[in-house]
Amino acid sequence: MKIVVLLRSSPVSNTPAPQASRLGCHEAAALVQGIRLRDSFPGATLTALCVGEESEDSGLLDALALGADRAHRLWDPLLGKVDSLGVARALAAATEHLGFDLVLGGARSPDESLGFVGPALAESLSISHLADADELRWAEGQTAVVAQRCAATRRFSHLLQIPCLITLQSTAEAAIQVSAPRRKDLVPGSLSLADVGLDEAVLRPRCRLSGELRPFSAPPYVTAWAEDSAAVVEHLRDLDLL
Amino acid sequence: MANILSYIELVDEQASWASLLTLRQGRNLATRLGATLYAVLPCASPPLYGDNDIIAVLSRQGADKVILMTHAALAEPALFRRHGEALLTAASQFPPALLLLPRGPAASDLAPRVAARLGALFLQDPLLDVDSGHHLVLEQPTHERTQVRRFSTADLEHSVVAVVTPDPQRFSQAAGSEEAEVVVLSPVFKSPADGADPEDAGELESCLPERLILVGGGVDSAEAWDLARRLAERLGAALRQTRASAELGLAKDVPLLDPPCSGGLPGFVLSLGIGGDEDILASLPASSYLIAVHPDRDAPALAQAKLALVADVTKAVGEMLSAAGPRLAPRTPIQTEAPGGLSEPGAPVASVSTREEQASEGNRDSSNAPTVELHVVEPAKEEP
Repeated sequence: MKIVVLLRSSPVSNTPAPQASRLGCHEAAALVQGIRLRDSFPGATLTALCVGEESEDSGLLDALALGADRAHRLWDPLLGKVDSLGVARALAAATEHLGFDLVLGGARSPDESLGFVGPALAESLSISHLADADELRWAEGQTAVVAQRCAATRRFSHLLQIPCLITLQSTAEAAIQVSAPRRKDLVPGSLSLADVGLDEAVLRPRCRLSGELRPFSAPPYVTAWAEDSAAVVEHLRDLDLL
Repeated sequence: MANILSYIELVDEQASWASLLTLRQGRNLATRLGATLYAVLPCASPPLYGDNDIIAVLSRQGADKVILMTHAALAEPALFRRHGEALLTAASQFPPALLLLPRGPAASDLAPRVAARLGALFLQDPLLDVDSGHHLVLEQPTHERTQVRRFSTADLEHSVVAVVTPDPQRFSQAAGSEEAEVVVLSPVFKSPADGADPEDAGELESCLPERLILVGGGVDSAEAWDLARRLAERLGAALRQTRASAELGLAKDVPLLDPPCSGGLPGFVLSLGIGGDEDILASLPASSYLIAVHPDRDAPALAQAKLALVADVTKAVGEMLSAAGPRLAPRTPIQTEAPGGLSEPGAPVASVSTREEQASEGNRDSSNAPTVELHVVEPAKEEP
């Protein structure tokens, strides 16, 4: 059983202390759940994988400290110019290169926070997926995973046959466990596009979709004051609540 | 003419409030862009017919056309392998320049993969606008809202899939007529099989309902509670109370509001008698649309609200009930079945009769029903 966990580190400016983990909170949840599944499946291995420059090694080192069997960082300058679908396609190539049965990832990355790469990677790999799960366990026979997830006001259990991809939401438990001390005897490996057999020409068309980066200024928050109860009712009607 | 598709998520067989507001936002953009707005409605059973049925509601919120897809596999929960494929069926017939989905658990699962299948640009909670050249301008907040990625359809050759938290203050007027056209499609399911269908693990008490009346310690009489219960029923809202309210012991059957579940829908919250010294409002999702009623103008809760009313809570709720009037009559199903029953995945679409004909056949009162045309569209051939 090969488990691959997709990781992404928090932006440097948000790191509260040099020794703190830089894994995104949802990535940490995926890692903790992945390790738990690995440990309950004899012979299973867990590989941490990320896209990024050398600064991303920090999250991979955390993963190795927590018990990942190996860790790899995929990078090419072209990946800094493509949109999220380009990143997902590159990660799909790397995942195939490493071999996988189960792919886990965070529900949203700490930087772009789109929640896109996981499901898009599943699409590239033509495997089933489930987004925003918060609890995983092996199904009987260990050929499938049972994932629990909220949907509106109800909670559902989903049975996903292997191979599949599941993204996970953060839990307090994950945040605690990721503060484990780092090991210095383990280092992440690096992968290039050529290593994973991906032609740059596949990604180049996505370069035009990364947008123009500008500073953000939030619109001011405004409270409207109702003159009387009738004005509230009129507002409720306008909102189609009545 | 460009197409804008807006996904309609059902909650208890009604269009979710967030879906309607998203549709309204789509109406605003479609009008400014000169685009056609489609409401995409995948559902497990035929929608209900009545004076205020879902087709009429979608029309009133601005849909030019309603794409209706009925199939037993489209039951809740809405996930990519069924609802995503339904959306892709609609997109194959009416290629969208922009596909809008309301933020929530359904969008988390199906929107990214739909975007990936379409090769589209994917955005989450973007600021959407139209420039003077009638191009769509999209700004995606990123890096904890310190920066934005800016896009313009003047430069894009791809579709855009956007998950939005609509702001009814910005799109406050529903601009649609009541003359929508209904297009009936059969969804084509292509996703890899992933085992058994999801199993309902039961009601999740910590999840927020989409419509909520939250009662605080300021509601301190049996009369006020009685009015609050009746207003909740009238609005179709769930009733919860804060710890300060529970300590008064006036409504022991009403649950406390627990910290919200991240899987909850962004929804509507009416707070009654919450001053703001209770942290509960701060724990609501940021995307919640809060209307607050409290007698003290300086109450912090009022400053957090989109709409605030300074009034005696008992008097205000009584007046609101009077102004709201009675509930509408119950509804009956719209018939969309083919002569042999619902079509299988990938089969030709069902033939249908018009809603007016159905109303007439069923001897129902259609005097107030909107005029609706039904069109049947053959699904596109599946590519090898």
